[in-house]
Amino acid sequence: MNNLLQTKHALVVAYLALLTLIAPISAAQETVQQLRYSADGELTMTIANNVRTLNLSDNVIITQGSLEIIGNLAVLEFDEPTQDLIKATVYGTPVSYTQMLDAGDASVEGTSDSILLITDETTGGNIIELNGNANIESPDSSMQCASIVYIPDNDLIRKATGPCAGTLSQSQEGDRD
Amino acid sequence: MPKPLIPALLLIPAIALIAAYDQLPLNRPTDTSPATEELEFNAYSIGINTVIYDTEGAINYTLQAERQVQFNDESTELDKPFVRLYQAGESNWNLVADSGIISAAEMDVARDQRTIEFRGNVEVYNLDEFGNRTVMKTERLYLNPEAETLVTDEPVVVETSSINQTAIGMIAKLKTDEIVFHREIRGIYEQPSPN
Repeated sequence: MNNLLQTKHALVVAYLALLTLIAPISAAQETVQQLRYSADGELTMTIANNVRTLNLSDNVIITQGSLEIIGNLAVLEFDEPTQDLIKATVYGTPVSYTQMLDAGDASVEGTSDSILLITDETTGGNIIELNGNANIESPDSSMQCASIVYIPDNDLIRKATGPCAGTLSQSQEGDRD
Repeated sequence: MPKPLIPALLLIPAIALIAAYDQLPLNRPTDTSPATEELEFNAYSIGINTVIYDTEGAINYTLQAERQVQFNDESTELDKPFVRLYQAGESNWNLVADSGIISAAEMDVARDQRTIEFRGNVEVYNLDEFGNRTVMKTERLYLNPEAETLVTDEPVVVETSSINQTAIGMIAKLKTDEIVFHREIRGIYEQPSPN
């Protein structure tokens, strides 16, 4: 009987310990998935073809965790049936992009005429497309191209469309047009 | 003091008394007719339910209220109003508030341009075909029920299944699902967790 009680006690303690480990991880994930937006000017909200579109103007700021995109105009598109974010497009003169990388205090910065934020359907992570006078600086690379596709979770320049200039680490080399 | 002067001195207050006699509150005839009060309103209803049809006979909107008072100046006040707006025979947007006012000036305006002012805990909400609810909250709002337009200069909170947003000022065209928020936009998007 004593052994049974001790076993039950140990199981309860183990279960509670497991809960305390899972809870903060879940909370962190929920916080990161939040996308915040702000603008000093007007926002127009429309619904057409099952897509809810938000057009923001004047000092537009998009943040998600440590990711921050600042521009003059932004278009956010959401799929109404699923409420998924289809994409966020920010325009500026130029648009600026910054994000802390998972590894330590390293960060990535970029600018371009427009920046597209979409979700990788496979990994669920973000894909950053810098289009028009694209410039990106990460701990290992510094690139200036017509357009750059960047994966922040992997600190990877997946695609760069020329003409390009700059330095690219060997670990960064992906597709280059 | 000379003797002829004493009667002369007594005459002075007497003359003053006679001159002021009409001002004294003595022996004033009382008004015996009962006081009458004129009512400020000319109609009072409880539990109203109004249905407005369009020119083709379809329901345009319905207006319910716990109480309706029509005042002598032709203005109308609604207590706990509930408005249901229809499109193509189906209810899409609904509005509730603490009170509603149709001003006297609005009664002179053509019906299709008439607006109703809603005050206090104003909520405008709908449910789309996917079960997603949109709610707009403010403290004061003007509704044109025929054109289905909403206007406010007050702070507005918008809540959907995945978006929570604040702004100052709004113009909404509910027939075309187009809403313009004027300034100080702050919003949070979060993918709702699956049920």
